[in-house]
Amino acid sequence: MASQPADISTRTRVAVFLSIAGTAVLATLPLKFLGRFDWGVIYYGLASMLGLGLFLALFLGRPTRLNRWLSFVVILLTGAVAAAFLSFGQGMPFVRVLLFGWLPFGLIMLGAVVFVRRRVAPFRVVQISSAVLLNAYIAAYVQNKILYQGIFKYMPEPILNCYGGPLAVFACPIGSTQQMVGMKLLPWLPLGVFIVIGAVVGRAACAWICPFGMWQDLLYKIKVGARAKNNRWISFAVVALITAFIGAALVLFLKLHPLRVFLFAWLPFNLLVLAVAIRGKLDLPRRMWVGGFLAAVGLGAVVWFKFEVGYAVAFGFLGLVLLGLTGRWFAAAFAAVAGFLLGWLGNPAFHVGPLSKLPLGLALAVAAFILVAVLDIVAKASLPSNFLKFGVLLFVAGLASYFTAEPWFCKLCPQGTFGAGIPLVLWDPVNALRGLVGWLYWVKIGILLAFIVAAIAIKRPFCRVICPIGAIYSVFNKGSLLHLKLEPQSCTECSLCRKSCPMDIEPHTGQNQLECIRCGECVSNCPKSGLKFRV
Amino acid sequence: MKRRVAFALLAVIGVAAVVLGIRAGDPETIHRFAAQI
Repeated sequence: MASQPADISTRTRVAVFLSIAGTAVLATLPLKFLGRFDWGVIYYGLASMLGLGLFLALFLGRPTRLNRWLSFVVILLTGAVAAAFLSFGQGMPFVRVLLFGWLPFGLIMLGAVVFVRRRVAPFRVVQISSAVLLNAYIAAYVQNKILYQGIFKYMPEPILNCYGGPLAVFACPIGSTQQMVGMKLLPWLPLGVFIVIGAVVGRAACAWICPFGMWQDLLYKIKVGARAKNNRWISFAVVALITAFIGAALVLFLKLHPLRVFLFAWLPFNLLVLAVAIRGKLDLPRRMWVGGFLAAVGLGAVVWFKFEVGYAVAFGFLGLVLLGLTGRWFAAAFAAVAGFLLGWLGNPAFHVGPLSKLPLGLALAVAAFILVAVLDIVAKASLPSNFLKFGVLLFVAGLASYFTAEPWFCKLCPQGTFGAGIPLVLWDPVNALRGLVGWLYWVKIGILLAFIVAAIAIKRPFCRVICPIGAIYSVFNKGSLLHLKLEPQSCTECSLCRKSCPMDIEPHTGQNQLECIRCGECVSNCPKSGLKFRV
Repeated sequence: MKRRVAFALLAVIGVAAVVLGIRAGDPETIHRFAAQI
């Protein structure tokens, strides 16, 4: 590091605390006055949020030893108060709440205060805590219950976290919105949550609360390409071997066709890993939305023709990331191959007569080739990749859900696969879920794998290109109460702000842009204290 | 200043939408989907 990052001002600390406290009051008190929740839940929410706000205000920047221990005491005390409210207000056994909630949380915080000597980004502390808190329904495993069905499931949380997950405590706002839109109802409650959070803190929830953002941040920490410490070929061989074992397990235990597993799962995934291993860390490809559009068309074709070819589609989706990583003519050729495989090899007819669906495969191949080529030429001078998420919001989460009464974004959401689809099928406490696995499940697995690999090479690809919740919040970013301000005379264009940015934007050239998630890393890392949070 | 007033108003509108949603029974509708597979 060229120079020491500057510490932040007391004014910013107070502003952060007031923003969090204000949001907590605004979000929780109306519920009480409407008679929905009792004081136990309200006080629990308020105490947790106020404690978190105070903790953050102290821990921000470069915390002194005093600040670190003070913030630890604050979080312990407010945690105990919150636990008491949860216990006496909700009738949960106090000892159990203390033993399984407060104590492990306190121990984690103690570990953080004692062992973490170097500066840890404050948003990371909150991000990890919230990932645990939002998925804290351990009782699912203790009592063999599939889902939490209590009072918190009446409320949408402000970020992407599938409510179908066995550990999930709150309702996913975009899932709720789609269900309500499908019922031809106006989703006032989720909409209100989006507007309140967006107007007060802009896209901050994406950095500070979202667990899927956390996973992407962590994946990006894996060093690949020239930056990898170990031999990249050994790493690649290990991945290839592990995925081969997984493939063999799928063949043996789930009775999948070995050729299909090899062609449509193992091979494309490892090609993708190989591409990332060779090329290393990358910028977000400008025209990735071409691939997204193609994916939508491909999926539409699959649904239309009712192919049972999950692997083929998964193959297509994996290839989409490759499309983004490579040049346009290669992309078009790849789409042609995917279209061909989709129409021919992937079809069940393959087993009775390989040639029977050949014309369809060829037609899809030609169509895919022309489509990508045309789209790519159009895209050269048009929207960058990150505008695709507005299309996802409007067409997938909005119109498709409205007209078909099905939550289409949920059906394809990689967070849902990770948080709900995979754990539920693996665990299957009712011995019925594995039987429900169909082609759509493998499509979802394919999408998840594609994003896992992409997140190793590119900073937060899902948040920047796909996430409809991020799209909604980004609209508020320009003017939200909490916003970034640059003092131009301080800027030396050292680009440390960009290097530290988890969304790969350049805060010194434009603050409060659509992709800014208010994580505060540029503020902390600016050697001249040129960037500041302002209210 | 104008920005602050506008976005504070927006936040109030958001709270109003939350209140409206709760009165309209959104929590029950959401729970119906969120608490089942």
